This record gives sequence, C-alpha cells and structure tokens, in this order.
Amino acid sequence: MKKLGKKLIVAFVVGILCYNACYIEPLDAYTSKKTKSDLGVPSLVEDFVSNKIEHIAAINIIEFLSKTSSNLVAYSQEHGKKLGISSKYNFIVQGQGKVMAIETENIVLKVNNATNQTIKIAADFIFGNAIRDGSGIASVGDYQNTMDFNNISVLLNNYVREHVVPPFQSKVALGDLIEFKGAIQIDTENPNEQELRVIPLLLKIKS
Amino acid sequence: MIHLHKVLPLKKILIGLVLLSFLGCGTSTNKAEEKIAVVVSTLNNPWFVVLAEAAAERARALGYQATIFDSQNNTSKESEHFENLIAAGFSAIVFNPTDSEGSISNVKRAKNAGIPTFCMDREVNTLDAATSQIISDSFTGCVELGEYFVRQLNKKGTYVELLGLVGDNNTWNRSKGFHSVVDHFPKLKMVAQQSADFDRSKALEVMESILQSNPDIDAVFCGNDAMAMGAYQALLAADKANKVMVFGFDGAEDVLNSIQDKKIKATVLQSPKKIAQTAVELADLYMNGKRDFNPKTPLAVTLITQDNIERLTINTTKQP
Repeated sequence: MKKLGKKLIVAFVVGILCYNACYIEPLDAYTSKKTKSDLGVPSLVEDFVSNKIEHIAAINIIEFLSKTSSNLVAYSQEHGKKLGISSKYNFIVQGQGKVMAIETENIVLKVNNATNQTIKIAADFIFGNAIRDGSGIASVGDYQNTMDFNNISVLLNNYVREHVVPPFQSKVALGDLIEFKGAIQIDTENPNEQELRVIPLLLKIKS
Repeated sequence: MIHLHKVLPLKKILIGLVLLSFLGCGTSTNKAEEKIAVVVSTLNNPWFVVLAEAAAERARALGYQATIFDSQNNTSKESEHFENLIAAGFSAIVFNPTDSEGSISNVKRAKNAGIPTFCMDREVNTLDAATSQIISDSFTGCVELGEYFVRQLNKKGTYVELLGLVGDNNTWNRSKGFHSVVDHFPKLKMVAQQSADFDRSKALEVMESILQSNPDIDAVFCGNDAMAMGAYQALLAADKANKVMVFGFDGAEDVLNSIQDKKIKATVLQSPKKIAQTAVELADLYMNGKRDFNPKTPLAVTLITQDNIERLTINTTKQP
C-alpha cells in the first residue's frame, strides 16, 4: 500500500509536469503562426507589392456597383472584408473608366454601365486601411502589438503615394480611358454620406 | 457481500480516480456561484467608470457575481488585485490593463492559475496570455481625425499634441494614426508634444505651461477627451479658446456637448459599453466551454465633428 502511494504521487507529479509542458496544435496552424510572426512588416508589404498585386482577386467594378446598389448590406457581408466589429467593409475592385475630371485629390472616372456612374480614384489623401483589409494581407491576431499591424497600412499607402500615383498623374488627361485595380471601403451604416473612392494599386492609361 | 477491491483491484481504482481528477479540471458548475472580476486601470476617469460598470452589469445580467477592482493607474496595485482574485477563486477576469508591457505578468499569472483573462480597450503586448482582447481601433479613428484636422487647418499652421500614458499602446496608436496623416503636410508644424497622462488636471497644467512659450498656436490634438477638456480650460483662461481648435478622442459626454456648443472641434467616439459587454459575453462563452477565440477583436470607432454631430444617431454609445 505504501508502494502504491509513492507510485500515485509520482504519477500525479509526472501528470502535472506533462500537462503543462506539452501543447498539441495542428501543424499547419503552427507553421502559419510562425511564418507570419517571423516575417516583418516591411518584408510582408514588399512581397505584396512586388508579387501579389497583379494576381490578387478583384471584383469587376460594374458588377460591384450593381450589386451594392441593389442590396448593399447582404452583398458586403458576403463579399467584403472587415476588421473586427465594424460596419465598414473593404473590397478589391478592378475595371475601366473614362477620365471626366482631374481634381486636386481625385481623378473622376465614368464607368461604362447603364447609368454611366462616376467613381473617384484617389490621387491625394491616401490614408486608411482599405488595401490592407480588402486584400486580407494580414490578420490583427498575428501581431503582438497592434501598431505593427497598423504599420502595414502606413507602408501600403506610402507605396501608392510614391509609386502608383505620381507616374500616372503626370500623364493622365481628360478623356483618357483608364484601367484600374484598387481597394474601396463602404460603411454600410452610413452609405449615403460617403463617396465611392478607390485607393489605386494599379493604374494604366489605355488610350 | 461483494468486495469491490476483489472484483477491480484497488490499485486500478485509485489510478482511475487520479486520472478522473485530471479530466474533471475546469468543468463549470453553478453560474450563480461563479465570480467575474472586472479590473480597470482607473476609476478616476468617467470613461473607465462606464467601462467597469457596464462590464459588471452585463456579468450580473448573465447570472454571475461581479466585483470591480480599481488599479489606480498603478501596475503594483494591479498585481495585488490579481493575487487576491486568484486566491479568492474568481472564474474569469475582464481586464483593462494599466500598461501594455507591465501588465503581461499579471495576465500570465491568472492563466497559470487556470483563470481566463479578456482584455478591454487596452491590449497587452503578447498573444499567449489573454484569452482574447477587445480593443478600440484607435489608430484608424485617429487617421480619420487627422484628415479632418488637416482640412480644418487648411493644411497649414502650428499645433500642440498632448499624449496619454506613455506605457499604454493606445497612446501611441492614437498618436501614430494622427501623425500618419498630418506629417504628410509640411506646412503643419508641431511646436510641442507632451504627456498629460490622460488626465484633465494634468492637461490643464501642461497646456498652461506650453502656452507660455508658444502663445500663437492654431490647434491642439489630445489623446483623450479628458485632456481635451483640460486643454480647453487652459485656452479659455488665456483668452484663446475662440482662436485655437481642440481635438479629442473618446466621445465623452462633456466633449460631445462641447462639440455641439462649438467649443471643441471633434472627437472620436469609442463605446465603453460595447467593449465591456463584448468582453463579458466572451467570458461567458468561455465558461460554457468555448475555447477557440480570436486573439484580438478591434472595435470600430466613429469620428464626431461639428458637421455631423446633429446627424449621427448617438444611441446608447453616447456615454462618458
């Protein structure tokens, strides 16, 4: 009985040690966590702008305008991406449009849909999280300090401000046909208080 | 008479009992007997009072006992609370940390004692201590505030920034969000940047001192509404309240009223009630067996200005 008591104590201690020493989680979850935390914010952004912008999936702007005007909330919930608890949804869109106006902060395009709707391409005041959250480049839960996660937006916006807008702005003229790809944010709670404004990732003058 | 130890050997019975004791760990029993601790950084600021009371109220509504602990912006005091509530057998902690680094050890101690912690509003800089963190999206709020600030000043002028507690991530998320916009406009010059610890009285003192050396500023950006009110008081005393624009953050009731009265330019509304209720509801899910939580859940905030305050529906979120 004494021996049994000793064995039980040993089993109990070993049990406690093993319980606290071992954690079991799926290999893919472990690998994914390790990769994201190891990859610094500048490298992540560099990889995105160099290798992913061309290939990232985007919604055609005519389809986007049609679906959001018919049922904004349902469409946003199904196709948009948002950060945490929010009514602001982000999308990556692409399409073509004719330059109707060149403003200080925006280039106004008329898209070729039934209502000849206009949208704006941002040329100044390029801020916010539309690209980061619309593209899903990163998840806030991967970053110990949320500021690192926020820096992704800062670097992405800097890239647009320095590398996407200036070469385009210097050549664009009224009447040009533009091909674009970019991020757009819509607040489903206040849809009428906002303009449709695309933060561009790609801009090409077709003619 | 049947001798159980002859049917099943005594050794096996005892080993079985030990194994069962491991399996039984953490199983919840009666809700009314379970206690949720609400630990807040300070009760000396009305915003945090609402945060704490909303959390306690929601916990009680869900059938738990709830107790509020005030850390008085002191990490040592916070540690004492954690020691006491671990010893007192609380089932969960909803927690507003005093320091994003300094509070980590407290959360880890609770985790090691088998008590889940759900952070509210402020985060701790680790992903493996708190069960989940509900945080305001302060950075994005201050990006929007920064854009409004730039437009109000027509992209030029001099301004002062009053920072919050330097050890709190929210201080820097707000400041960096603001500067990620404003620093792109070279004619906007920051002439002073000082901490006033999120405190109204301290902000009044700091602003009075700054005005001595910088009497001709155009605007003040404050990391929270308490400091905005303190700065406004200093400007009023110096007869500059009509000339200098004041911007805050939080959506505190006195600042919302001041925006309506055209005294303060803008703030960013974050809902302490929603943050607190979400954290408590996550704690409730945990105690009902859920284990898979998002490490962080940002909560969107709303820019409130003199232009949109009348239009915006400020329902239950219009609280200090």
